[in-house]
Amino acid sequence: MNPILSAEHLTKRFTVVVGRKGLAGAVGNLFAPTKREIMAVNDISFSVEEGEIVGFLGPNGAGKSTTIKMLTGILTPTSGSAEAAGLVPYQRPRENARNIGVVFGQRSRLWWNLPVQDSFEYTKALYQIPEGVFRENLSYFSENFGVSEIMTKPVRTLSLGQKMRTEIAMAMLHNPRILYLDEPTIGLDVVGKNELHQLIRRINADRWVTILLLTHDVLDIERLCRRVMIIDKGSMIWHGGIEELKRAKGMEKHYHVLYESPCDPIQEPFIQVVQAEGQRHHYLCTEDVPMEVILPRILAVGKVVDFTVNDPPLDQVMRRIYTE
Amino acid sequence: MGAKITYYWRLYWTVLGMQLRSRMSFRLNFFVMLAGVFLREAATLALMVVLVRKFDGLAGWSTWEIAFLYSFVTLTFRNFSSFVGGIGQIPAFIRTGEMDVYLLTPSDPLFLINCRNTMIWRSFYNIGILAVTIYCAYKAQIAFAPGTVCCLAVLILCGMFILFAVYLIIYAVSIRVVEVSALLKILDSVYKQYMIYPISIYGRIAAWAFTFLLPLGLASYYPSGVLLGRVAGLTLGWGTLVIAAATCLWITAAFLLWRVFIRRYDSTGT
Amino acid sequence: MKQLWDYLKVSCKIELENQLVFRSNFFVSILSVVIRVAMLLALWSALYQGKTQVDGISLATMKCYTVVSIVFELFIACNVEQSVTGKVKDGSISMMLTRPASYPVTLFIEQLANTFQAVVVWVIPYLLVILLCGFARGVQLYLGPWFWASALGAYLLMFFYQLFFGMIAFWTQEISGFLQARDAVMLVFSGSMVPLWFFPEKLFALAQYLPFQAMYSVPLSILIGKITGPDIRSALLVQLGWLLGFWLLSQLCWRKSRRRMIVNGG
Repeated sequence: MNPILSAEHLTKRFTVVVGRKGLAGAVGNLFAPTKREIMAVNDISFSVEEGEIVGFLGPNGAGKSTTIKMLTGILTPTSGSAEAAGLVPYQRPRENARNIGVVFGQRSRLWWNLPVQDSFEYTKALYQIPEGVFRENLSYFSENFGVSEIMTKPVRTLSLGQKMRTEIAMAMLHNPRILYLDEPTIGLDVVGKNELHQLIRRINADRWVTILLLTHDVLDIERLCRRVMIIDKGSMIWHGGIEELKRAKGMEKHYHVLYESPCDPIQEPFIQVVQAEGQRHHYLCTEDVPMEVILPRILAVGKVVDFTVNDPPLDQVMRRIYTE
Repeated sequence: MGAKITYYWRLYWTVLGMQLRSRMSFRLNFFVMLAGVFLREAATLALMVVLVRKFDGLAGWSTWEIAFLYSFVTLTFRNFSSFVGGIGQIPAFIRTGEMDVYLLTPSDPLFLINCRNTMIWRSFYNIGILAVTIYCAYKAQIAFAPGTVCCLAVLILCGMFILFAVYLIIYAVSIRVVEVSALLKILDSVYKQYMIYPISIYGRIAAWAFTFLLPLGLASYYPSGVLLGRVAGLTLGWGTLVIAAATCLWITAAFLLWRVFIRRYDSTGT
Repeated sequence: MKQLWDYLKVSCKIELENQLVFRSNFFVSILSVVIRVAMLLALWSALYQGKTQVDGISLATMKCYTVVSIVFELFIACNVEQSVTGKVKDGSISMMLTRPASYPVTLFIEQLANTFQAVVVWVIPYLLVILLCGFARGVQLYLGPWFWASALGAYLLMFFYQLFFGMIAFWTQEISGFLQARDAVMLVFSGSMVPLWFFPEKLFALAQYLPFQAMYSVPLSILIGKITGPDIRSALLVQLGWLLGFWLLSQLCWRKSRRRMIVNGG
């Protein structure tokens, strides 16, 4: 099967004026500005299959947005190429716009002073959505995501969660094949995030829409994606499944052991004893030591009744990747 | 082609309806604003009449002829800002990165920006200014034959499109330069405060520049001049034709420039 | 006092830096003043064609008046009103109450910093240009104490005038339409565009009863010797009257709005 979204050696360079500080600097800038070239995106390649939800992670200024802007057709890459749903997006941005839906968490497309339904009507005219498709989609979102009760409310009176759901519904009205979500859960509380995660999973399953999820929030990735791309300083530093990521990068493993009777904890340089009171022991291993080395040590100090191993949480893995 | 026209036609009316509804809440200010605008224009006109009368005309133009030029310029600027002034948001959109939203639709971005930010209800004011223009034309002894009226209508339209072209060129440049507010301020004031006099008074180089380089003269001195029969070597008919042709050229150039620059859009706004 | 002085110093530095941040904008601003001067001079020359004097004013005097009035406008420029209405709109005005210095005093210091910037970046260079280009040649300029007194008076009057209208923003949310109309009146009667002495008698008389002439026309007329002798004193008294009037009004408005803000919680 052909991938629906792919990038080959995608690269974008910007020239920026470097501002100097202070009064002397300001006068200097006036006459001789210093310019510098910035590698915003450096040789990124990947492909996404139809129907996948792929996470796109990276700290601020890592090049996430620049990549997305090239994929959506706003920017033309300096070199390399991209393809989305059979089109080269930056060559035919307007045609490409019909194939994609984009939601910016921080930039609304809704009409602030008007009821939600007006924004939908606007989308209908903008994307030339046929009446039948429009009605069908409207009823789909009304039934499943509580959009019907807010249809007549002015957008400015909606809660952040409602607004985000409306934004996503609006981006899906013209049946796009790829949906780009840029920080969709920003500013939401736990409940709001939960609802939004459900909605995203649901439309992915019902509509078979491919989703690229840009986020800071590791929780979004953990709940929604099976595959993740991590980008830092313009380069792809990890690309693959989440389980593999944890296995490869997560070295912090917690062992909770319940012994039959109280015993002394293990004494090894590579094992930290977090807790060892009576029968309950909690060990922490921060080095890359294989299971077959640790297991015999645990069994050696006493008879084991119960035993669990906890993988590291994803955010810890992320922190480690960025600091490496 | 037909399908495209239907598409943009429908889109325009949908958006316009929404714009009107979303602005309805500020009705009182609407009328106060109307009075303010009217007073401002009236005051500037009165001031100019006082001045030109004191000096018995300017560069061979009588007081009423200058008043006609003034009202023509004001009308043209008002038409520009109420019908195609929505594009005035472009520099702000470039600065804030809001431009991205307009580039991510199947519609032409320029069209969408103009209609989502239109001030078309302000054209309501223009009726008053049109009345003043016609009155000044009458006082300046322009004979109202059907042909003259047609030419006047065409010239008013051309003036609007010349301004559109000039501003669009600057907005296109703003894609690379980002901060153009000072430049726009100059352009506003040059047109509204200095193009209300015959450009010949600014010397030969400036007159040449306002004809060919920064064609504001094509939206002020020349159309008024041919209507008043004050441009040497140009009759009303030929003058109108030449101005219309120049307008087409400038519009084409502006669109081409816009396309070149929008392709190189960096989206560096915050 | 020391605190206020420090605040003034910091504000001056920031204002100066802000002016230079956008390089193209800075150069274009210079260009805009040059264009304005050139256009207005051309206009006056065209108007004076074939005449040596109109109402006792020669072309040379008129040219000098034009250039000087543009420089004076840069000196007197004030954005207190904008600053206050902006803060009322976004609600940050309530923050100002928590500061140790009273808000009008803070505003005045910011205005001083703004003027400092204008003088360093604009006024001084233009004055040099005026001297070099010889605009003042053949014109008797009066630079005695009365001129400086009237310039200072105009400066303070401008500040309190804007402060007063800024304070009005507390009561009325949306007054932009009214302000447009007011600015139109000001444009005519300040004499910044067309000097008042060219007005018909009745309009000239009306201008005498409005505060705007005390902002531009009085100091500039003293400078180029259009007002002399005992007339200077009466013009200055009128200016002082307006100054006191707007000072009182703005103080009153400030007191009332502060009480209102404390009651309503901002």
